[in-house]
Amino acid sequence: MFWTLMKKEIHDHILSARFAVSMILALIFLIGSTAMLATDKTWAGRQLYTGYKLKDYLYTNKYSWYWMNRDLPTLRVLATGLDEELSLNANSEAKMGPQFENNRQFVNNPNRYLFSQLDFVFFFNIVGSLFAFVFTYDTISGESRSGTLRLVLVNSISRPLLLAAKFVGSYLSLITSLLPALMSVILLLYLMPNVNLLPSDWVATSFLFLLALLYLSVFCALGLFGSCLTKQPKTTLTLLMALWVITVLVVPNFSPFLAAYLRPIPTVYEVHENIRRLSGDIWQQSQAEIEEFIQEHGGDPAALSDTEQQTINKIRAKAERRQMNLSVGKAAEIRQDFINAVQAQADMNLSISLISPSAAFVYLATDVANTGILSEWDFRRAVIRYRSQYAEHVNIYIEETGDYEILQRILKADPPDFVPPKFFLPDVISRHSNLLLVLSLYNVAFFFAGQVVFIRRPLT
Amino acid sequence: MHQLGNLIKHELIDNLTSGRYILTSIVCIVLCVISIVLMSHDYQHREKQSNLARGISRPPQPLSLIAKGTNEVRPVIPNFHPRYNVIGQVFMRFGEERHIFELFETPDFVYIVSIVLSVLTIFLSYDSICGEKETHTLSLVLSNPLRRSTFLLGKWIGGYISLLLSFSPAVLLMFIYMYTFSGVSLSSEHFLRLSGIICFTLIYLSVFFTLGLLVSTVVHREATSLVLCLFIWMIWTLWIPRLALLTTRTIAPAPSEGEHRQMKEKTVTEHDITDEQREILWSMDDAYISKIDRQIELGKNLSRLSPLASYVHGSTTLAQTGIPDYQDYRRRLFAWLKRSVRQEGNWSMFVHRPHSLGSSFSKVWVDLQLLFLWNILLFMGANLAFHRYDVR
Repeated sequence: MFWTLMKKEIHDHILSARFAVSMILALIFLIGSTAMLATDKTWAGRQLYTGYKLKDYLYTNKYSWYWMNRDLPTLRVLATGLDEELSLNANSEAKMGPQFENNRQFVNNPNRYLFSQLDFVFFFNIVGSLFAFVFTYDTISGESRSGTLRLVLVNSISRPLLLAAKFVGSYLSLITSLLPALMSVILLLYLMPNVNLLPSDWVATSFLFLLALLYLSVFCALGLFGSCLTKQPKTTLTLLMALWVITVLVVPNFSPFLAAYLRPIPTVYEVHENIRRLSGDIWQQSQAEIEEFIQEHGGDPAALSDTEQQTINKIRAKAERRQMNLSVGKAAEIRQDFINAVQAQADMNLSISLISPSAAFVYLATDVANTGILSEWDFRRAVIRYRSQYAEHVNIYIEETGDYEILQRILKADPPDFVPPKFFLPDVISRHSNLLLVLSLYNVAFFFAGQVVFIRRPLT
Repeated sequence: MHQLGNLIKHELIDNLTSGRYILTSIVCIVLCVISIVLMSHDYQHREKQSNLARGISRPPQPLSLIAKGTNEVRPVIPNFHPRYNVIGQVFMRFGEERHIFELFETPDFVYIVSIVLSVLTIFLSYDSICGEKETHTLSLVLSNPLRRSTFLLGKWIGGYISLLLSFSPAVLLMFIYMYTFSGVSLSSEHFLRLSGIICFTLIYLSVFFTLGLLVSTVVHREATSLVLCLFIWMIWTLWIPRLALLTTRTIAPAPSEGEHRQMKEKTVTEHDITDEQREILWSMDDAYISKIDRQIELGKNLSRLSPLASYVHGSTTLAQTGIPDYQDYRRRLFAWLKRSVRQEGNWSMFVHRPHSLGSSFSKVWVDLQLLFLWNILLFMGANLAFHRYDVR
């Protein structure tokens, strides 16, 4: 009986206009956005920019600057995530703290600030959820209005079974309408010369597709619940649209600002100012030492002997070493405190936004594609860790050789390699298990709420 | 005329006592008030940042409270040596704290109107004609000596005034909060700009109201009308502006800053350059900026196929946070940098002067005309379709 009901549901949907419309729209949206993102020169330019920095690295034998780079995330064609705000490089000087570089240059196309990016995640988050409602809004209320629900239930069919069959039927119809678009995306990823996916990327892509389908099922369940709750399809659609506006368009956008309001953090300039003050103290101290030394030796810096000049250089070099130790000691602590505060704010944002399945989906999907907040922070943490490693290496070198020149020429003593963090799917799943759980729970909760309402629903 | 007045009055009474208009009013109030409170907090944070970022900081504009636009584009100069490379020296950083704000669009007043209220407006008009047909009141009304175009006009005026009435408490509360509690000092010029933004808002919302009316004169069932409206809304507001942005990046690509720097290094290989070589490098910078500007213009023009883009461009320009303001700021900043270098390091204070009121209004003229045009076209379409509509 379940199969018969489900097949009828699928058959009805496939013959309807909404099936054709959603299939065509999905094909246009997904193929268009994936193809354009795959050929987007902005990202290719970023890669070149990274290459440019690598070229700079060759000159570090002369200078004290060095660069920490990571590869472009390949799944950016599906989920642009932080987009131009994603750090691909960090530069650092031996004695100073790191600076993170993103590609958001001042001379750039600012249209990006006015409209968000069109990608696979955007499609499923906004358009897919709307499709789910369009496929389910009249499942029960529509049949009730046309009087067929009563006829069906005259037979010996249990209500939970009927609802489950309708849910599965609508959901499978929705997936079927999106299937050509999804297959075209896979084909594009396979054929586009600019996109080189590794086996791990294909696994992540498959997970992204499954995640999108899980997300759609939440809205299907919600649509079904709404349909059980109301008598007229028009009322169902109005109720569902109000819910859609709140969960997809309002909650995810408001939650970061609400978190910033409830848990304020200092500005990044205040943090830099604190560090600069500490750094300035060290310079002033060394300057006073040099002044004192010059006074003790006649008061004229030009008249100092070579040995005396070397002593002054040593004072400066020691100050530079103290600067370096400050950058991985107290300054790193200040930075870490700031990062912790930012993370606490972000955690609060995540907690608030879990009211909406949309936010959970976006955070998960962008992190699976390595373009989300998690991947950005991991890169930042790796840079800070590397800074400590590097300082330790320099300190050992100075202790062993007494040569302070390493502070000026970083390749002099074969520095340790920077290993950018590798981010694999199991890591993302384990760290975002709460988001996955929330999506699954929403699914179960809406489906059972629909069942309860449908069982108690009068047939008249 | 008397008939039209009666129709409008009837429509107004019907709408204002209906649940969805009351619901729309409540949603508007809640969203606008929460938005202005959160954006005021954000503004204070940005103002603090701007004060701490020394030198060339671009201060947050007071009206960025309701239309943030490109006001976030805030450059820093890490090393003050623009002798060789004006563009390369001016980086732009948000700082670490901005990442959580990056995944979703800013929920300012312009976002609320352009996305949320445009959908809600469609809810208010999608059944104007087909709803009356389903309840069989349409044939009854039209059995009187009443012209169809008068009936449609009455529906439009009555419905639109109802929309304005349900929307106005939210705007009023937002203004009161802005003036009293936001901590932003607003001059009379800001109020004029604000009035301009509200005018834009009303014309923009009327486009979607008329769209709902048009669709309801084409289909015969309310549910079909709503689904069709939603599909059109989705393509028109969500898809076209973003697609325009992507298309521009594909059909008019501009080299990245890295590529540009490489080209310059190939042109002048020496480290210590002469004044003539410096001027050559700067002319290359100017050519690069023109390429970016062409891309910006193309993107803007393509996106104008959507009324949402016209509304966003118009409102942000009036709020002094639009693309022209970014371009003007960039032009002035680079001119100041070059002037200072040419005068052998005589660094005067850089002062940012945003566009004047007249200049802003002249820049939004195209968008205003486009919004009017959409309104006229949609209403004409609705009128035409209603004349051929089977009312039985």
